[in-house]
This record gives sequence, C-alpha cells and structure tokens, in this order.
Amino acid sequence: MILRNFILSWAISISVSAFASPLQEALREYGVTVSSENFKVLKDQKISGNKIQRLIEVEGRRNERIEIKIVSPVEAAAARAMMDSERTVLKKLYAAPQTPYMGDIAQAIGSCPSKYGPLKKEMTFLAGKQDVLIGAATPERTFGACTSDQAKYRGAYVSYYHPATKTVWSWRISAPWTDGKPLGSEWLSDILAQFKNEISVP
Amino acid sequence: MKFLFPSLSLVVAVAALIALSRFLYPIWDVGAYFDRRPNILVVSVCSLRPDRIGAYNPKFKRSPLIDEWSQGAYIFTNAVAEEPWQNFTFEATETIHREFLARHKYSHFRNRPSGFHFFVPPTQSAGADEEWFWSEDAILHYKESFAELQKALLGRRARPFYLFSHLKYMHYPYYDPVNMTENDFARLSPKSRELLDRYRSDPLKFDLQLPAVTILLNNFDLLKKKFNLGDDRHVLSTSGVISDPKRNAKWRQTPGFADDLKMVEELYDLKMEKFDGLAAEVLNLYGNEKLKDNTVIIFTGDHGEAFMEHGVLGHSVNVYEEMLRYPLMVKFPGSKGGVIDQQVNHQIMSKITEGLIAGEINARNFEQKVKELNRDFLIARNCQDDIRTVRYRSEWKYIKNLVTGKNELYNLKSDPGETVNLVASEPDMAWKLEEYMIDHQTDFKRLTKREQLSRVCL
Repeated sequence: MILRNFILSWAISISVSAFASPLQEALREYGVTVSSENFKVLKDQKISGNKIQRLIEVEGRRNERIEIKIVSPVEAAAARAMMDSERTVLKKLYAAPQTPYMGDIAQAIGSCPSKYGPLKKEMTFLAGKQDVLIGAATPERTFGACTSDQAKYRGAYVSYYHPATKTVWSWRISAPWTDGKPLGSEWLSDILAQFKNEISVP
Repeated sequence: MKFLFPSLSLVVAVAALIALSRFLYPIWDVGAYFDRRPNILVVSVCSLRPDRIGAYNPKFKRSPLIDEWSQGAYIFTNAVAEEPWQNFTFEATETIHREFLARHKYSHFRNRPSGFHFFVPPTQSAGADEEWFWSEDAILHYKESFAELQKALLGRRARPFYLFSHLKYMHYPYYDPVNMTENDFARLSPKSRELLDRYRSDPLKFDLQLPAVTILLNNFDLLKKKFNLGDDRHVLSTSGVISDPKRNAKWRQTPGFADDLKMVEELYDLKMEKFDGLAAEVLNLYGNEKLKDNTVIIFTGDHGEAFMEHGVLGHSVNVYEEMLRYPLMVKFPGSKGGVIDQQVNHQIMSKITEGLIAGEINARNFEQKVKELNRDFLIARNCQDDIRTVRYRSEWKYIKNLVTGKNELYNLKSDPGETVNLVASEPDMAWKLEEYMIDHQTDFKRLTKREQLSRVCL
C-alpha cells in the first residue's frame, strides 16, 4: 500500500516545451506586464510534478539577457533557504576562496577586487523594494568574474517569495560591460523598469 | 575534637583506598566485569577511495592484508559522505558523546595517541592537523601510535570500550612528504619499485631525490611546478590550489599530463600499499584473541579522492562519486558478513554505531536494522556549498550547480563514472530529485548545533 501510494504520488505529468512566444505572453499568467517588445524568448520550459517550475530566458536588442525561474508551491522556510543559499553562493564567488583547510589558500590568494562586486542595492522592482546583488560576469555570463579578461558582463540577481501563491521568483540579468564605467546599478534600472506587476511583492 | 582530627592511620587508609580504586574497579563493578557486550573499534582513514581496496575492486591487488581481514565483514558498496570533507569524527563524537557512552557503560578513549584523531573541535582541526601530518615522518608516527593503541586496548577489558580513530594516512599523498627507508622500499610491490626506479633517472620531473638510505617523495616541489606556484605566497596553499578547477584545466593541457597523473595515482597507491600492513595490525587487534572474540570493528573512511575524473584533483570541490564515496566495512566476531548495496552516509552510520553501543544492534539483526535505517534520498554538497546533489536508491544521482545553473543526472548503475548526463532524456527523474532538494535544503545558520558540527566544510 505504501509503495502504491508512493507511486501514485509520483504519477507526475511532465511537460517540457520550448516555444518562441513573446515574453508578455509567457508572463501573463503571473500578472507581470512587460512594457517592451524588444525581448526575444530563447527558452520557455515548464516542468510539472508535485511542484511546477517555469524557466524563461530572453534576450534584448542590446545583448542583455534575463533568466527567470518561477517555482511553486514552495513552503516559506524552504523558499527562504533556497533564496538565501543562492545569494550566499553568488556572494562567495567574489570572496577569498574557502577550503576546509583554512588559513592557507584564503590568505594566499585573497578576495576579488571590489570593483568587480558584489554590490548590494535596494531597487524598485515589480511594485516593491528588492535587494539586488550585482557583480561582474564571465563571457559565459556566469557570476564571479574577478579579472579584466574575464569581466565581460555586468550581472544581477534578485529573488523574492510570494507567500499567497507560495511562489519563488529568481531573476538573473546580464548585460555587456563595455562602457568602461564602474559596475554600478544604473544599467539595471532601465531593464527592471520594463517589468510591472499589479501585486506588490514583499 | 577527636572527630575533627582523625588519626593519621585513617587518612593514610583513605588515601590508599582512593589510590587503589582503579585497580579494585573490576571487583566492585561486577556487572561490568561480566559484561559480554562487544567492544567497538572504529578505524577511519582520511581520503581513502573504496576502489583502492581489493575487497571493493578485485583488480586492485595492493591491499592483501585488509582484503584478508574483510572476509566475514559486511561491505557497504554505497557509502557516501554528506560533504567531500565530511569526517565521521564530528558526527560520531557529537552523536556518541561521552554521556551516551557513559549511560551505556562504555569506556571511551579520551586520550589521543599521537597520530590518531579523536574529537577535535572544528575550529581547531586545521591547526591540529598541520602540526603533525604535514611535516613529520608519517610512518614512524603511526607505528608509535599503534603501539600506544595496543597498550590502550589491552588495558581496558573490564568494560566494553568504544574507540574511534581517524587516520590521516592517505591524505593528499602527492604532496605530503613521506620518508621511506630501504626496508620500506623493499616492502613495495615490484610494480611500485619499477615505477620509482623509472623516475630515478629523471629527478627533476618529479623531484624524487635519492639520498643513500632515503627516498624522499617531496611532492610539494613537484606540485609547485605543475600548478605554476612560482611565487612564495602559494607555499602554504597547496591544498586549495590542487583542487582549483582552473589550474587543473591548465595542467590537463600540458604535454606531460598523462604521465603526471599516472605518477600522482601511483603515489596514492603506493601509500595504500604501505598502509595495508599497518592497518591490518590494528584491524586484527594485534593478534589478541580475547579482544578478537568480542570486538566489532568498523573500517571506514571520510570521503574519497579525485584523480581528475571530472577535471579536479583532491577533494572538497565537487560532489562526484570519486569525492563522496568512501569504504565502509563492519565486522562482527564470527559472522559471515555480506555485501550491502543500500546507500548510507555518515549520519546513518552514526545511528548504527549508537545502536551497537545501546545493544539494540548485534550480529544477528544487523542486516534488518540497517534496512530499517534506509533512506531513499540522500543529500550531499561540496564544501563551497555551491554544488548540491541528491542520490536516490543507489541508482540515480542529480547534481545542481548553483553558480552555473547547470544540472546533471546520472544513472549510477549503468554509468558509475557519471559520464552521460541524462537531464534531457530523463526530465521526470531529474525534476523529482530537484523537488526533493528544494524541500530539504537548509540554511547553515538554521541548523542545530549537532548538524552544524557534522558539517565541517563551512
């Protein structure tokens, strides 16, 4: 009986689809509107089981890229742990490397120069104030670039939890870093301003 | 007045009684004297890969004495660490703490013979380690330690004893200097001698120096060359640099990479070969038949060691099997043993050990009790906590990289080397394991003290 219930509980429907719909269409069901039509959808995947995960990846005309991950339902504690751990991991990428054998490598190599991040900014996004983590990203758009030859993109990470729908949102945004200016957050404001949400997220 | 100043003879008598109490102990603690519960000896070896023990890998012929001992042991083929630096010490001592042992009338060795690890608080572990195993002559050190252990074993027969030892013997053998005498050299297999001979003619390549009576495997210098550690600031940082994926990738591109890697592995195997005899002395309890009849021995490790299978050398960096998997053998006196495929980790092993101490687990019910502790899902992570994994029923393994967002899924039965990523072809299984990970991930700050202690990576 236990085995049967277990199997039944895992009688999940999996649907993975990739289609090139406009971003607005992809986000409509979540109540998010996009003021720009400039984003080309590169990926839109939905995986369902006991939880549903939506992965949307879009690219703008200036080669900026946005990866949106939406997971629900997730209990508040698990959501908090999920978001905290992702933030912590990204922050650690700019800190001195850590090994269990402390006191050697960390002192020897040191941390990433501060000009590459991470910057923590409170920014207005989707009708709420969100903590945004900003740092230099590699040519593959991965966070943690710490040298001039690696720092080709500016990257930003923001995540939040919507308790009413038990949904975790996480956004990874990257844009070319070619202007020679400091990392900053101005570049991001323009991108974030294109997204609106009727519902204020905490 | 007379009451306040007792006679000198009375004072002497009381003092004598106190002094003799430890010798009289077996007489008044009759229950303990006739206690037939088993002693428990846990021998853990740092960085020991299961495939470097013949009992796990019949092709490996360089651990004959441990293999012989393993006859009659329960051999766990899916023991995996929660972290590639996990140390059973921390989990065990936090779980099987002194009060627990005292409650069950077990004597516990609190003294630490040199070369053995008993409980070392996480904050002190690095310093304590460095003090002895980086610099001292490991072989002599262990021989002395074993002698101390033997004395201790023979001196604690009134009550059953619990003894945990963690040996750093296999730890980073390729840069931990090992002095070898001619006698040591003579004990090596023909294959090892041949290999060492081959490099005698090219000392620069591996920096093997051959003084009259000592072969110095000064691998530190070797690694400084291989990993471009030209500046002095890296002198003390090899443990981190060895496992640096970027440096490892550069090393892989060099023309001599294949030979280098072969030598690194050979150094490890060579050390295993030497360790075999030493370990066998302990596992066979120095031939003491009385102890043999009543001692359960757990021979295990803490985590594995990678040889570039997934682009990294050493341990702590990722969560592939070569880093997480460790040997685990449990031997009861007189039992037939067997192979246990069920996946276990250090936490489960702690519970088994607790059960042994409490008398709830014994040779007769061992297999059943292990089954009752089964967990279909086991979570692990790397030391940097940016790569996590869920293992499912010894068959499926899902890996999530929080930095790159890359996910991997492997079928461990058909692909034990984790070479074919099945995320795209098995999305339902991948998502099932991802869901489990979402629901069970924890923030270190929210862990209990016990859980924190068992996670020494941070």
